[in-house]
Amino acid sequence: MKILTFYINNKKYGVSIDNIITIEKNDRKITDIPKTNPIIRGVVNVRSRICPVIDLRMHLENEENELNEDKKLILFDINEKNGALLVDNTDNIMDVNTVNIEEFESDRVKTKVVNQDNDVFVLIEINDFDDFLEH
Amino acid sequence: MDTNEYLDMFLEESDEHIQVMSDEMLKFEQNPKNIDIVAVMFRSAHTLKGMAGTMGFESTQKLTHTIENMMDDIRNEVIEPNEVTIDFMFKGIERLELLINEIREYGSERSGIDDLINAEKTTTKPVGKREEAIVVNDMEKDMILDAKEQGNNVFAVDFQLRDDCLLKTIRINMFFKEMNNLGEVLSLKQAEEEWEKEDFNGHINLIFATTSTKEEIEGLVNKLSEVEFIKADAWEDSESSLPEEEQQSPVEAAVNKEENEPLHKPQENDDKSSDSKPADTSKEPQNTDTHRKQTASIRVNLEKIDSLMGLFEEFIVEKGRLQNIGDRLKDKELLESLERIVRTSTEMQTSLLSMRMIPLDTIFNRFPRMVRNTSKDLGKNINFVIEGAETELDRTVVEELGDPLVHLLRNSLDHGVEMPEVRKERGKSEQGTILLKAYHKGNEAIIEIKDDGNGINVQKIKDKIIKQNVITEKEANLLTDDQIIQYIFSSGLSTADQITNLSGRGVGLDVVKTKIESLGGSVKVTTEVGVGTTFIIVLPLTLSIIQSLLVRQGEQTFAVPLANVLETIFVEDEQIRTIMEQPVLYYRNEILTTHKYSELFAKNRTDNNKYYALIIQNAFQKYALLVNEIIGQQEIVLKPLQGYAKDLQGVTGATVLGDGSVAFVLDINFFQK
Repeated sequence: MKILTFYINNKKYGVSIDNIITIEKNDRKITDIPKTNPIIRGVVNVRSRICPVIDLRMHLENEENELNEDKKLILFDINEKNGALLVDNTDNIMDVNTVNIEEFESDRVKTKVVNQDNDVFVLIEINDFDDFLEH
Repeated sequence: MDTNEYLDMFLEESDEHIQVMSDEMLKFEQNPKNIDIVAVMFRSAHTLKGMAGTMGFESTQKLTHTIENMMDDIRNEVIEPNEVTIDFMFKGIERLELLINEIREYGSERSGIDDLINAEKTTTKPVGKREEAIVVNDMEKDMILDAKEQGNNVFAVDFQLRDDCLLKTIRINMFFKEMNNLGEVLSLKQAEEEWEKEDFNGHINLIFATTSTKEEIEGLVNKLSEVEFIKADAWEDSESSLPEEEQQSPVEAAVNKEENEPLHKPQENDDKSSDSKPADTSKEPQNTDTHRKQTASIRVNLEKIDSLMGLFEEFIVEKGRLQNIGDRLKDKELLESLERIVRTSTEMQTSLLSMRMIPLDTIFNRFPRMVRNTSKDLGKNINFVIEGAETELDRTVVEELGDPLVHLLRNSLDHGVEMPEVRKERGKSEQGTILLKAYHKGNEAIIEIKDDGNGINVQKIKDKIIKQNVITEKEANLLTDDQIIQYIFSSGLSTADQITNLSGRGVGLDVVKTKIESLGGSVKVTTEVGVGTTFIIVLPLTLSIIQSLLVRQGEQTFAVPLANVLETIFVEDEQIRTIMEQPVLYYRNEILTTHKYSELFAKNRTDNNKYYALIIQNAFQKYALLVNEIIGQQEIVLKPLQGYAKDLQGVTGATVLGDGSVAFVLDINFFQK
């Protein structure tokens, strides 16, 4: 399974590339969305589609994100639902053996973790956003 | 057989046939003597029945069969087309439509048809007995008597070729050859020329004198191939055996329902129908042929057009950017080239939009029946006229228009046009007229529904809105009659049933107005007491490209539909006052609540103290929207919001601006209460 890795607050995360279309520089104007979940930073125009920007920093660290051109937008498209993940920087695309993906569960969180070659990072699942973004 | 791939085709064609039946039925009702109309309906019913049978939709097939039988009886003058039978046929066609819609929606038929089938048996008592297969004239009677005297048996013979028989003439000749070996054909009910015709149904009745027995004649069926059946019944002067046979044959035929044609054939054997049948077969296909030739067209999946439209929109955005660059560089050649691009793209847009357009006919055509049924229920006499059904509108708009139009038509029928007695008293003709008229005017399409009925009493509406505290008496006195009538669209008023009684105008007009406005249109009403009322609907030709006013509030650029902006005025902070914590703007003797676009955002921004106020009018209120800057008027491509952004409040869509950024389109109905 191919995983795209990226950084938020110098912490490494990964996301499956299956639904990723492209990575773009955050060089465009993000238009605010009225009355919405704070993790939706706004919308951008990508290839003539209106694309919501999900602020992963806000989501994972609960911390307001500074916008600048060094940040990256990871564009995805799942079942006609398109969106962009706003991340600090992208890292690499790596092959991850599925046996190295583990369920991690503690008192506070439940998530999937990649544990391979002494590298441990959280795997973000885009589908999970559906649950709390749809109200 | 896998019928799935044919389902769409079946549905589409069924719609067409039902439409034909319904249209012809309306004509027939006006002119019940015209048997040609029945023939047209009959053909549609028959084709529909065949298709339904092939597709395995039994209820549809059975019901069509029932209707078809009735048409046949009418055509053959077995039953008289009276009110009961016509009503029954209307009901039947309606039920067919329902069944087809159920198939479309659920893939199967849900509604029962037994009530109609049973009703048919009771409602349509034939005026006379069913016509005999063989009518004998005096000369033939003599021949029969002669034959009997000579010791022959006389039989009425019924001969039916198989439907798939190719060389009918040859088979029939063989049949006659065999018959002539057995005895003598006294009388033949079908002319010889008849069976040489292409559409000959392969059915022959004859009177036959022979020394052989019934079994011997019927045994011929084994000697001849491709024969469905041969029947011989001893001829009796009372002719009583024949009607019985008549009733038998449809049943027999119904057993073979796989076949395309046989169901109605056995009943078609009197002279009249054999005459009329070839006549209308030759006429009908010609009509449709010429009709099709007039507009050569191809069917294109709507998705393809939408995707082409999407590409074109991208092109428009790029064009906007190029224009920005051109304005900056001021290069003469570039600007000239841009000019041409702009011109071409405008033409491209027009032709692209026209591809999405469909004629209003597609919804108008179901109205005549609705009007007929409703007026009948109400006991009113209505002359319903449709004009401009060929007027084209964006497909989406047309599809959404059905309900509001039905609503308005019902309204005119129910409250507009008076009962015939009342009309007579008032010196009008007893028949009321409702005109449904559509036409293009500039970039808009206009639909009018006009009746020559009661009209609306303005004073009564005025009293009502004052009583209900919609506006004060003082305010009401400032309004013109024309302005007051428009209050029939406001929700509080129209849902109250007293208003229905006193003004004669109805429930739920606010729904109509909301719907029309959601399509980017507007609706108004003009009226004159005692003369009539006209509802006027104005619609944009297309939904996806709208005229807007681009404005800026804080850092946000957004678009406001221009149609809803009454005017823009410059205001200073001190002109905005606060009443009970609600900021208001005092403007031309009106107190308008004011809003800011930034109210929609959680984050508060500091604004400067100079504003432009957009005076916005929607279905329910007039209010002021404060913005920092007015950028200008622009045609924008409205894009729907999908996925996560779908349920956003306060905006109806978004658009991509010339610089590539996204601007939201304000939902003008958002700031309510």
